[in-house]
Amino acid sequence: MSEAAVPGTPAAVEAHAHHDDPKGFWRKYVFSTDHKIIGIQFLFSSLLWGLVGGSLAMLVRWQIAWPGAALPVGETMFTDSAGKMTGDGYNIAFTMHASVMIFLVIIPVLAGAFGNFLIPLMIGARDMAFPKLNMFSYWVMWPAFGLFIASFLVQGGSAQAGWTAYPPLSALNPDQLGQTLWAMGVIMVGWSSIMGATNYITTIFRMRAPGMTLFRMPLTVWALFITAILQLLATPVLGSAMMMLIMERTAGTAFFLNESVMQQTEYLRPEGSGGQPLLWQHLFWFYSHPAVYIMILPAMGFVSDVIATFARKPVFGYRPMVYSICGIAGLGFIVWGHHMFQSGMNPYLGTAFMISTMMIALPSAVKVFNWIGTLWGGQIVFPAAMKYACAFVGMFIIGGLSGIFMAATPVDIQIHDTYFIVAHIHYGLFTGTLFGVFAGVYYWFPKMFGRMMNERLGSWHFWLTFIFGNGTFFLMHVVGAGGMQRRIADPMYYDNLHKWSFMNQFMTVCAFGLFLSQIPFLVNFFWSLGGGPKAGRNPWKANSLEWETTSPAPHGNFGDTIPTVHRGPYEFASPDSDEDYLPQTRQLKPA
Amino acid sequence: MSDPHHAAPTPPPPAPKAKPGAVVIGFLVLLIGEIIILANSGIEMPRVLPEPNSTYAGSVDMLFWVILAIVGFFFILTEGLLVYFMVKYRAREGGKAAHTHGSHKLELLWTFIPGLILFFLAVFQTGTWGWIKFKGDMPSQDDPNVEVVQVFGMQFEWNFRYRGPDRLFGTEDDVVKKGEMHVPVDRKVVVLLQTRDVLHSFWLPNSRMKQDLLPGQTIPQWFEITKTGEWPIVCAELCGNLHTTMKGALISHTEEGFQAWLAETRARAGPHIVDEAPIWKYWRQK
Repeated sequence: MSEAAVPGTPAAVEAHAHHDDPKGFWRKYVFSTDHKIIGIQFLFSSLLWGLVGGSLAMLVRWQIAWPGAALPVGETMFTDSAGKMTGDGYNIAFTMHASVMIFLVIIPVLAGAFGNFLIPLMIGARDMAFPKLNMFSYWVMWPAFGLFIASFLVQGGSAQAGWTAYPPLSALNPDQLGQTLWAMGVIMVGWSSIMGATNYITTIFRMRAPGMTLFRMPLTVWALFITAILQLLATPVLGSAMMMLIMERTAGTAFFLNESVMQQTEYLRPEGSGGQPLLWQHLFWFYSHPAVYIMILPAMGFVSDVIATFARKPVFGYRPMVYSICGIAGLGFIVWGHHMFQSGMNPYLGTAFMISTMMIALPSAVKVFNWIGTLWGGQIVFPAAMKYACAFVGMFIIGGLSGIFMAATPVDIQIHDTYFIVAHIHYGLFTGTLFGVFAGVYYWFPKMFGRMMNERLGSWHFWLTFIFGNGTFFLMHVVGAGGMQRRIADPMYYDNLHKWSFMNQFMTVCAFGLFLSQIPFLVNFFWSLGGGPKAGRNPWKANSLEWETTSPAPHGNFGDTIPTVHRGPYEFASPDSDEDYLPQTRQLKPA
Repeated sequence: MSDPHHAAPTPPPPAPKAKPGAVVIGFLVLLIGEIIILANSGIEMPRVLPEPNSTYAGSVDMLFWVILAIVGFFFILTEGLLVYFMVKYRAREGGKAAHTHGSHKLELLWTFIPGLILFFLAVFQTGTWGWIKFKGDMPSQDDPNVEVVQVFGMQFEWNFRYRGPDRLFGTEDDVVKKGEMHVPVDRKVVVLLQTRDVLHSFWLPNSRMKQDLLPGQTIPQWFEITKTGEWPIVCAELCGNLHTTMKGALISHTEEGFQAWLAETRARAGPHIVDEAPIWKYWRQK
């Protein structure tokens, strides 16, 4: 049977699921081809890297609040022998904070962990279309981890040109290996993304359960589906750009450097070299702007599911929600220039990019209104997952609205490269995406591990994170508009920034609090793995397919027969059902 | 129904009778009123933005406050509804949620109104953007009333060069200054931005002027300062390990003061060009 099955077809996966039930610890938990195990592997490695990225942020905040105050660590790659942070060390800290958080935490946790875990379960497939490719997509993350770690250990330290790595700065000093290793690591992450995306798209197109039409898919699957398309189209551009940067650093090419660039007295490229630094910015943002949506769309999907489940009410405007995901993704490809309004790009082009950027706020606004509409008339309960989901909506509003300031080209003149944009990105990615991720973890933890998380600890985690998160990031709008540029190691060097020093210290104290607020989460997570109360199949009384199988789901997901789908995933409070929910699989007797 | 005691659960609140016309008008009146009041109130805005000192700073600030007013309105509206619904529709014993899949009318309403507002906002910006950045509004460098200054960004300092009476760069009567840029008030200044190493960004926070420097290109920008005083010049683009220290001062004089400064600096330098910046030698080779 397995010879006849073409890889990637439902028949092949059916065969795989039935005949290759893995034996032994290594095949079952480490080199597993089971999408659930791979998802959980992504989740664990993201948690670990999240701690690394968070610690780097603490270094950055320490320096901003008390510039030059010694850390009791002696000489490290960040500090000099007196324990004071060096200029290089500071640049490494914020560069690697962003790189680790974006490339090793947020993208892997959304697409890697939740994408892997949820897509087959939610569409009623036994596994991914390409289980081995899936395993590979996780294991190429390890070379990336290794390269990122190695970049810290080599002479000169890790990358220090910002996560955006604008040349010429990122192309100078070819003997500093850290920047090159960084670029290689990012290529590895991109490789993983592309393989994952191929897999998700194929799986969603080919392997949906009987009756699972595209418009009966949960919004989480829609979001992950569109995200996969974005990843597939945009990531190769990032990979090419990184390759060009590596060539620039090692082989003396002139993609970005030109004949006028020199270091000390030496011209770096011969006369006639016509490289253009803006080329990097175009290539980089052609990936990295869609990547912003790669980093938020899945979280929007989780939040839609969580809100519907705990409001006990169908998602308001399911189709507009789907169309707005598609709209965000489509427009996402024609707005990259808004990162470059002041870059020397033709200002006429700036006007065009401003209009497309303003328009991308529209589908985001539609999503917000629909989430609020979903709450209207509901019977809302607030477990930790729902607290995070509602906070996501509230915080995403701030992150979305502050984007309008940056989209407006004249206002962007003032706030470009200031803390205002730092506030904006953190409202999008921290109180946005990570709140969505926390909602997802609290919501799907029972399905992942078969046990419930502790709600009291979850509540503590939520309130502390919410308060300290806003304490950390909100005032950044103010100091940014007040003229504090980003990426400076010492605001006290500027007389005009002295008045913000109290705010900077306040934000740092909140940031420390925010870091410590994750302790209840970690305790809760690891304690609940073994000590939480056992969860049944459907602890939240939700409708979608993943709740039809046991918790945790077996290899092959659905026992002997794949369930048949009869309706959309959000039939809460349906008049057709005696209960306040109506699973997608339940067949109603004809009236 | 499973429980006969709750056979008639509290009916969900009736859908508001949609009167889109009234809603739209009320909404626009509020919004426009807010803008007019803000623009004409003369109320001293909270001094968050740095003190403005150029002709176009006020225009940029006005746009900032208009956007803040509009997004502030939506912020209060959406956050208010969010919290209100979270409280009002929290689960009650025996309650059942409304069974609705959405409302076409509402979707149209909350697509078109924000769409129009966003489009209006975008168009509203273009005038100021063009005034500051477009070539058409750039003062001519040949205009005798325009002061032209070459700005050289390098790791980690700013250098400035002025034409002498011969109005040519690269001759003996040039005036060169490191770290300080002196300009006259009420006269247009064109800066020619150049770098020979990494990207820098020439930012005058008080003048609402910012422009990156690109190796291999000379980028002209203009501004007109309206107040005398000393203002910061900031590098806004990460340029290396001492990026923080790349600051300069913009010193604005009255016309007489500016001419006096030029004459004094030229006299002090003698007949030769002062090479305050070592990079000059190399730059002049090309």
